[in-house]
Amino acid sequence: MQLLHVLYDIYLKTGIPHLDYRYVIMWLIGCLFMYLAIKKDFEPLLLVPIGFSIFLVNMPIAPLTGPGQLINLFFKYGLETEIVPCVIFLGIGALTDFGPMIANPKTLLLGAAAQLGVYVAFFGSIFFGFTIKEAASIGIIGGADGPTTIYLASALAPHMMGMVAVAAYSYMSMVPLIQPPIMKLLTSEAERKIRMKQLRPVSKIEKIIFPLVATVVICLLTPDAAPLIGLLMIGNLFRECRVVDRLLKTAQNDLLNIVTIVLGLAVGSTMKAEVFLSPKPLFIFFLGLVAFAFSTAGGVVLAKIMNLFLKEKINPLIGSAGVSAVPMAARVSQKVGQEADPKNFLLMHAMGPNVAGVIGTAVAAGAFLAMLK
Amino acid sequence: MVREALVVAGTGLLIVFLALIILSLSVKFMSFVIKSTTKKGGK
Repeated sequence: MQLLHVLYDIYLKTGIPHLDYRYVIMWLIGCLFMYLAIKKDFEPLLLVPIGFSIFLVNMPIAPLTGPGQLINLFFKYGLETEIVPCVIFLGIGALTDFGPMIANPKTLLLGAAAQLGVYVAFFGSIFFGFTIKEAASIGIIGGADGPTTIYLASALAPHMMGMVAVAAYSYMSMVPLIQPPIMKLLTSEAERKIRMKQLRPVSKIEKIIFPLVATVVICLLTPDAAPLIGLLMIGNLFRECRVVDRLLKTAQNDLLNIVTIVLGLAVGSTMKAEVFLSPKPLFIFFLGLVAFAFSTAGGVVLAKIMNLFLKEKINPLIGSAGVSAVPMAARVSQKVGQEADPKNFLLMHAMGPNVAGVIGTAVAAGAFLAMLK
Repeated sequence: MVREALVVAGTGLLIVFLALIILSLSVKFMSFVIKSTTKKGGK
């Protein structure tokens, strides 16, 4: 009899009696993320840790996300302090060649136009009943920049960070599916065939001075974007000055990989059944898609408008690369361009608006912070 | 709230365009200065 009591006590201390259908749904969602990453190769570096973290934190009564517990510490010190998104920007800067943008600075305008979706979704979110701070965190998904989305959400709507981060990374991984139909809808066959003049070579000194110029301009105009832009630019300076190889390699590899693991686990940990299984995430995913579509359209349409005034026409397909999913959005421009003309090489031209989009989204986040914090 | 949202969205978009236009002009100016002060554009 006493043995039965002991066994029953042990049973109560397992997760089994606490298990309900909501946890199982979350396990399936976690598995879906891992499936997309492993089988479909959608942003595997992020979706694998996010997916497993969703799986893990939805184990009933597991000591993971409570105060002072392991995953909670990742979240607290990595995301709440905004360290992780900024350090990821350091890595992105170390990996990014701003040369195509320096060679053709007007592509910066395409990076600005591709933020249109941010504001359309922001406005749409208000109509869905979100508060103005929550709306800003949802709108920024349209910038297609995961670290910036997390940076803004952690400051304005920390309770929604997981949902918006997952929506942002999901749509970023789906760039090759979402963008082409919009690009084709908004351009004619003749426009898609426009060939652009080869970019001029950019000197080493221009590449070294650019991070300083960009830091001054952006930090003076939107000081709230300074943590993101500052680390993006110092990472880029490591890359271009060519005298700090060890720092560069660390920023590009080890450091970036470490913070990516922390980011994935921390973001996934916010997707607990009790928070996620409500209508809100569905609205957020829908509005994120709206944001993404309008951002793509914004870049393409501005490129078409610019063509009315430019002597040397630009291929409007590079406008869609203004969303900052680097370099996937640029590759999509290249691919859609080559469907119209197999000998047309748009990749380097599209990298200009693509990296401009990273700066544009950081500025958009800085502007929201300045107005709403 | 809609009015406030409209102001935030309008101002935000304006700031983004303004910042990137100024950055674009600054980059153009930087390239011009480097080209005109160094041999072969500072290569």
